[in-house]
Amino acid sequence: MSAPAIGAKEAFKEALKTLSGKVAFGLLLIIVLMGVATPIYAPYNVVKAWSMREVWMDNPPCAAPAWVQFFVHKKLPKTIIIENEDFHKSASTMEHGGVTYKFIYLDAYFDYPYDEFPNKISTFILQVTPTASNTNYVILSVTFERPDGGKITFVSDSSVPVNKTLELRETTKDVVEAAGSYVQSITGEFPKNPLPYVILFAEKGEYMNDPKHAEVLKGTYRIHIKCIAVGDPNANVAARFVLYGRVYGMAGTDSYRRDLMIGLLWGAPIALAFGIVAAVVVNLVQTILGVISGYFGGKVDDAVQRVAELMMIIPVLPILILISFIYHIRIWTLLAILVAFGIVGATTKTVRSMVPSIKEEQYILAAKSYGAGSWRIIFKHIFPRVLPYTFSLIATAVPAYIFLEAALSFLGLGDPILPTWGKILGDAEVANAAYYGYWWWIVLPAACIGITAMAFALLGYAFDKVINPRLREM
Amino acid sequence: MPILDVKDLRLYYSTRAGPVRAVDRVSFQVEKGETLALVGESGCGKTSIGISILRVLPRNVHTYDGHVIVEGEDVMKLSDSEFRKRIRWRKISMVFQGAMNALNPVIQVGFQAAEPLMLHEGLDKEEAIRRVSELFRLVGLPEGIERRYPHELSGGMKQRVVIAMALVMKPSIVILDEPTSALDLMTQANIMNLLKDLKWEEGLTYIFITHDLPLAAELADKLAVMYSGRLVEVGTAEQIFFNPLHPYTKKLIAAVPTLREEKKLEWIPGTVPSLINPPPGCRFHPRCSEAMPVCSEEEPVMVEVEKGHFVACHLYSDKG
Repeated sequence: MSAPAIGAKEAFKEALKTLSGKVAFGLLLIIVLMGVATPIYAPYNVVKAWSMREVWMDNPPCAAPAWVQFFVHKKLPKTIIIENEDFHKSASTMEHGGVTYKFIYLDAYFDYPYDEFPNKISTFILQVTPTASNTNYVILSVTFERPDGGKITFVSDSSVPVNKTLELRETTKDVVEAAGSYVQSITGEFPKNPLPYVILFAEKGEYMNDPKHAEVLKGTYRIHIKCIAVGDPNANVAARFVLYGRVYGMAGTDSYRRDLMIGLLWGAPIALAFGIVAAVVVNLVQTILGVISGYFGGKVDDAVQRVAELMMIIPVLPILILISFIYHIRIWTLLAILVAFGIVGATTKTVRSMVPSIKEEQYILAAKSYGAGSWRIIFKHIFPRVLPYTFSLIATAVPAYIFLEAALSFLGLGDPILPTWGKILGDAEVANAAYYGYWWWIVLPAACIGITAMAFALLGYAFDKVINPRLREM
Repeated sequence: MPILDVKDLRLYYSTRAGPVRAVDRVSFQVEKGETLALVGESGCGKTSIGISILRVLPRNVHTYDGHVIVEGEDVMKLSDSEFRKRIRWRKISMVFQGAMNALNPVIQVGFQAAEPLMLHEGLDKEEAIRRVSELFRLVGLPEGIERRYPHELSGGMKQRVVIAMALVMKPSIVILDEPTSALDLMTQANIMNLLKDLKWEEGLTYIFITHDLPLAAELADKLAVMYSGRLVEVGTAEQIFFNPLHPYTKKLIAAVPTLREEKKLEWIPGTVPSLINPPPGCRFHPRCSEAMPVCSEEEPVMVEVEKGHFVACHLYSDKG
């Protein structure tokens, strides 16, 4: 292989003129813009919490991307969050027989205009926290009121301990029983397996426990909390309600309720940084060593070439798997290991084969004669000649490194903290996303990897066309 | 005192078949402001003399000795780094063969020409390129050529860049190795005129390596005819052209074509001898029409036949 008679700058200009070059630069621009937009959408401290489950509790699990609604022509439920401040509060005190009774009422209303029932896996969470200092128990009732006037009482005048949060979910025994009783009050039969996510939001009728046949009851729902504290005028109640939807954001969520958009966006700079740094450093170091090897020849050449051959036969992937498995390394340590294993390799050998013919050219003799030292000749005269070739190698090597990182992450050996595209795919595999039909969890990260790889592959083709005259478009 | 005095210069290359005697005990002198033309067939060792004077030797050097005395100092005694610092490009520079390949295709020409300045004088890039621009005007290059790449220039322009590059450190001796061999006739004439002008204006001493005798006649004050690694005849241009003595020189001059003249071009039977196993005695004797028995036994020595006219041939060995 002979060196291209074209400089690095020229190679770039020429590559931009080809169609594949234009497409590649366009795609790369989009990916880079995505990377730039990432900190605006999700700052670093948000993404740092990627592996912490408790941070994401306000999100629905396994929710599809919001734009799915345009394809199914249905209004799919979004998550509704009612904070403590949004509850309407009223309180009154009453003296009776020398004892102070405090009555506290909390009311919240929300609209439910959607065509589907809320999230099946995790429907809602209602947190009620009574606080008091002079008494240990309060009497609490929690009622869920439907637009059609139906009332489902989750907690009925029960005595609950203070300063402790009472959590009600669709799986709480009281809730399930209350929902079942409600069905019984209408159909006369207590269902075998009451499904609160359907019963609470279904039109009254025979099928109101059957998610396939029940109709969604649209309208304004109400949550009513009544609390009676005996002997403590300072008692209070705080509440919070989250109704989980079926769609979330631009990319949906995974089973850990994480916003996949954050993962996908952060995946871009991480993949680019990883792929580009690995490809650039490895190929440049290999190129420089190839030039040195070819230029000096003799023992230097022998040493570099033998080490290169050794490195080429070392199977890097199993070693990486071993290291990742034992040490749970961060992505940047992985990068350092890759660079360490890639100091010499195939590029060293290819470049070395190009150097002898360049070395014999007149301008090298001229440079020697006017007193340029070996290193100056290597870096000023020979290195720029082989650089465009290196560019095309780098462009094609970037996706290879992105794939490598994805493969390791997929095997569960990726970075323990940061999300990467491979890791999202790995999580999807573990959660059987394909079986359950959570397609967004698989398709979107796969598309990100694919598009990035395609951009670099096209860039590689464009460079190839420029530096390899036989492929040039006329 | 001659500005350049070469004595017994030898440069042998080692090959698997044995040493190649590219330059074998060559001696000549050049006075200041004089132009010496080294003429001879391809492969006779002309370029090897150039690179051995400038000490830019290939890796496979077998023997390299003799004396190269520049302005009274024997530069062969200098260490490589000393030679690089003091002699190369400051005192002796070279215009390399083949203008087309003498420039790195991926570096701007101004920057390439400025490199010696940056290396030797430690000038910064801008200052060096400014100095080079002045020089580019001197060699007749148009404005704004400094930022161009070699492929954007014509052959003549490239050759001017290479000449400017050789002059950038203001050397006193310039070795011109076939400076016009790849150029068309008009460009060649232009470059020759430029070289003549530069010689007068800058007081340069040239060693003009060429295989083209008429071209050598244009520029040279003195001619040295080379055959198979050795000098066979040295003399002024007039002496060599009007009174060639060595049979090889005679044949060489007879082989020069002339315009519109009925003349059968002469050629020399046989081939150029191998430089690994040169014939014994006079190296030209197997092809010489005037060979005598002594020619194959004894190597002829250089004798001064008339003032400034030396010849190494047994025909004249008694006249010395």
